[in-house]
Amino acid sequence: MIGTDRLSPRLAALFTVVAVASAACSSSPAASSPAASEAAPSASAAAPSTAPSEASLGAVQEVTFWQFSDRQVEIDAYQALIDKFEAAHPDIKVKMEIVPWSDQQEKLTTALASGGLPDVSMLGNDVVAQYQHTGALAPLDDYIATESTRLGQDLTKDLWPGDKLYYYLDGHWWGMPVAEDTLAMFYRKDLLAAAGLKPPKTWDDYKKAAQKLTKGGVFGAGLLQSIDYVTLQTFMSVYLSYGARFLNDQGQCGFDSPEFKQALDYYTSIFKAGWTPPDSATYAFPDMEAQWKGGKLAMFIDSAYLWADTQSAAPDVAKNMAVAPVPSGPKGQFAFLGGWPLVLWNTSKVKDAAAAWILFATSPENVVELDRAAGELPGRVSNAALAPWSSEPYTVFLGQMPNAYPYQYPDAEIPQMGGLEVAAVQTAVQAVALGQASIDDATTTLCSTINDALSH
Amino acid sequence: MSRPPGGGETWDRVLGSLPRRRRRFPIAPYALAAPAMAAVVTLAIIPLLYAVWLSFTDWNLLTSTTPTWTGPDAYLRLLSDNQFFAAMVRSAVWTVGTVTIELAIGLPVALLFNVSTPVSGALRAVLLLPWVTPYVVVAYAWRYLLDGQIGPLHAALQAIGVVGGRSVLSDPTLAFVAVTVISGWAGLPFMMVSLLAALRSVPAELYEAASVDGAGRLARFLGITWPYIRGTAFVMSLVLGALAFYSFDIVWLTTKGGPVGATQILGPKLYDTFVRQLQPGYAAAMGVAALLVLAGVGAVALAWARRGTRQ
Repeated sequence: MIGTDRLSPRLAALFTVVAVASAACSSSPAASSPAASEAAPSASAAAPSTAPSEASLGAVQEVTFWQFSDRQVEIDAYQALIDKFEAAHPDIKVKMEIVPWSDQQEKLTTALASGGLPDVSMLGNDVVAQYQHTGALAPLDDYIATESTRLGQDLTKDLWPGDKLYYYLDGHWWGMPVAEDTLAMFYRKDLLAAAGLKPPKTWDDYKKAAQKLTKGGVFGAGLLQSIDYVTLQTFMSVYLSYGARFLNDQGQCGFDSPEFKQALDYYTSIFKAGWTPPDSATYAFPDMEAQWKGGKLAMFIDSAYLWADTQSAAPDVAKNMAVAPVPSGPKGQFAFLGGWPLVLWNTSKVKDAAAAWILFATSPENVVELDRAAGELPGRVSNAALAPWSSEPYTVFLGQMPNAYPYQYPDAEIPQMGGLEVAAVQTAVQAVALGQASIDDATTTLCSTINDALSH
Repeated sequence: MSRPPGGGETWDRVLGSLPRRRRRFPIAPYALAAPAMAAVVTLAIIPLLYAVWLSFTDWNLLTSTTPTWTGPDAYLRLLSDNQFFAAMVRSAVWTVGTVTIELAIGLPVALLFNVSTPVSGALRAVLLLPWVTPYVVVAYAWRYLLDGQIGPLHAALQAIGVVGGRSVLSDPTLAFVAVTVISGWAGLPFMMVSLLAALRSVPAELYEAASVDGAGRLARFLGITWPYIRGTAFVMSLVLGALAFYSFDIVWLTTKGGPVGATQILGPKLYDTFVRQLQPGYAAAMGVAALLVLAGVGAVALAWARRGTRQ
């Protein structure tokens, strides 16, 4: 079949190189060295260091800090804070490395598997439990207690209630929050007024409004039904307000309940009825935001940053834009609680210096500058009265913060959540929305996946 | 002992001043190949060996920061993992589909561009664009084309009744077809350029002689062109097939393996197992199993090709 006799040996060599190189790159994302991970301790609640500060030894210590934002304004804010910290702590140097949010999960997982973790990093609040469970994080209790004593206030009493479910695990604190995020309902005043509607306060009214507002190329709602994180961040407000729970009293999947099925039916019915864009089940979140900025949505549930984004990208939409709290269900209002803390990695050789940086950066008077630069909600309750959070639209977002919780409220975050968000809940929503599974079948598969993950 | 080619002669001149006993060992070939071999060993062999070792461990990053040797347990688990088998089947179909598209379109296009025209040079450059365009741009461009509201390709498909109001990416079957087409489209230029290079090596006299003998276009293609280029076509199919088998970028950027897992081929499955499910040991077992399958298929294909050569 082949044109020359000498082709086969060359072919074999070429094919082998391609296959080996491809397989090596594909099958070994865990990177390169098994030995490095031996340095990581395995105890999940290793005692915090109470030894005298390493700084007392006199040498300048370097704290490696992975910072996840690549926005210059945030980088500048962190650098200014680092300069301030180093001026106050001449024996400590903080080395900031930018690891974009889009890459941080792979970087951290790879570093966990093969070594190279930083001393301090930001971390998505939904994966703190995951790394804590592995023993990769160091508890902050003693450092927080010392700083609280120094400041004359209990720092843990200045946090939003939902944060405790993310960061206080197994009786210890594993992160100090920097910023918060919650989703509220943006709406078009002009479109609602034309339809004779007021901003819906309940999910039932939201659905009726979505139907009435869908006309003339505009969709009443922008509800993601895809395997995108925002799908669950929105859907959780529905299922919690319907009385469904991620975990039951036995610590198993709690979604096999009438309340959850009712919530799933409600959420997907808006897509099936055509009151949200037809590709909502495959959209990534930026696609849906583009719909809002393009004037195609009358109501859209999103974070506070959308306010400024809309003002700069779509002034025509912005002049008729307003924000209302996320609607309530039969069991009340529940909002998504996002955000990120600074955490101390257990492999750190300079824990005291690293913890000093964490407590300095997250102190109420310093963290406020980081929050302003990020354009997010303040990580401290006491800062909520400061500008810019004392005015619209932040007042609406902060107003629902007491009702902002993790997906598995009222339980604390579970280690498996990072894997379950996409593989379980969002896939179930997408399957029902696209008619690939009935609500019963999707729920059965969902609980099977969750229980299987919980058993590991 | 054969003389090393090329630069080896210079090396031998340099080494000529060394004592005779030292000169008996041919240093030059090894010295010249050493950098390349070091790169291959560092970038391919060591990670591969590590992956093989990892595949014999039970390592769940949720419970341990160190792997535990468990022998073949991960492979036994694979045997009952329906999702893994589904991903393997999808990868196989995806690979065959990708290569088929690349060959079925690449060959006629290469034949077309083998004819010198005033515009063929410029068009060749244009056709190379999909190959040199970053996958992230390719994926987002196709997502725009297939968008259910504003996508021009969606509008065309809707006009002929292939889809309804939603994008093809919302339909599990059509989404798989769509991402396979995108994959084939992205790899098409490489196949086309390779075949074009092979076509340029066909002696023009053969065509002239065949024309004199009254051979038609089809006869000239089957009797002259194809025998000359089939080796290249086979090599490129094998190489592009191996690359497609482990694809990740296009699927991940276009559908993230959805909808409802319909486009979750091996690459996204491995990523999900390692990064989201935090099971590097099991992910390594998947990768090694896939490599064995690919190596088996490759060996069969090579044996088939070798037999054809002898005949």
